[in-house]
Amino acid sequence: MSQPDVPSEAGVLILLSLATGPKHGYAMMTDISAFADTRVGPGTLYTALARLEEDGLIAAVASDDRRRPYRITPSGLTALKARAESLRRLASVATRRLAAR
Amino acid sequence: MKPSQLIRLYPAQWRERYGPEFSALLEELPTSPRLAFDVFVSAMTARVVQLRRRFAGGALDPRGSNGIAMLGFVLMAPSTILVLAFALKFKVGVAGPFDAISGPSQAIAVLHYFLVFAPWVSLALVSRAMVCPSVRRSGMGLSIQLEAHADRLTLAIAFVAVLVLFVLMRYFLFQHSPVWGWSAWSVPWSWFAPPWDRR
Repeated sequence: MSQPDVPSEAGVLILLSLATGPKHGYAMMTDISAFADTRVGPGTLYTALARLEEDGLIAAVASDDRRRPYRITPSGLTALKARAESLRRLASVATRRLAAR
Repeated sequence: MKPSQLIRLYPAQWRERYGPEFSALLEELPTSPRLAFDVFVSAMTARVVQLRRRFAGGALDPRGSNGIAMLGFVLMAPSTILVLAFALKFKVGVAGPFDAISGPSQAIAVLHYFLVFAPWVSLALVSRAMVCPSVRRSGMGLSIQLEAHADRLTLAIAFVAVLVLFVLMRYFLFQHSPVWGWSAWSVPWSWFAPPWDRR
């Protein structure tokens, strides 16, 4: 299996949202809007969601409801941790360089 | 057009997998031009992704790859036979097969066109079977990759196609064709002559 690409911005937001438990599309949009103060459109959400599922970073949860929930997979957690660490390093560099000005 | 109707813009495979849940999501959201635009862009992205997969899938699937390469081989088989006839005529002195398709008739001219262009098409098909271009979004930019896949059969067909083309371009098209009388050009074609034709 080829190495999955780095998740897109919307992909990271979805992974972050699912890190607290399985959610369906509308719940993800509401959650993302709350914690990131940004609105992800339904099309953007499902484009990223399909990609994450294809890469094995999230998985659908069986449900009788039309609104199918998704959960983050162990690979998804690893990818999210790696992205968080990368962002932490970036923020650290930004803080140092901005402080020097 | 309602956003729920925009789902029709998605590929059938995508609709089959995500259609019901995506419809359920759209029903919960207020309709707006921004939402419609978002869904439209997403549908077009899904179509591009599907096209890219189809393009890549054929090339990277060994059976599909061999099928395309074999089609190329079948297509250039008459040209290959002609080239063998060339070799027989000019090297061994056997005239039969090649002289049989000489002459000024329209049918022969059409046959010449086919014999000259078929190996090019074959080469294109074999290249298509061996090389798979793919474009993916990577961070802020685009990542363009060329993936090569070739087994012995595909490589052998590509080699034969190049060989056939070389001989055809040298003998058939530029010197012996009744269709194009390009032999008067001042190009030193003798540079490209095969060993048996060098004087």
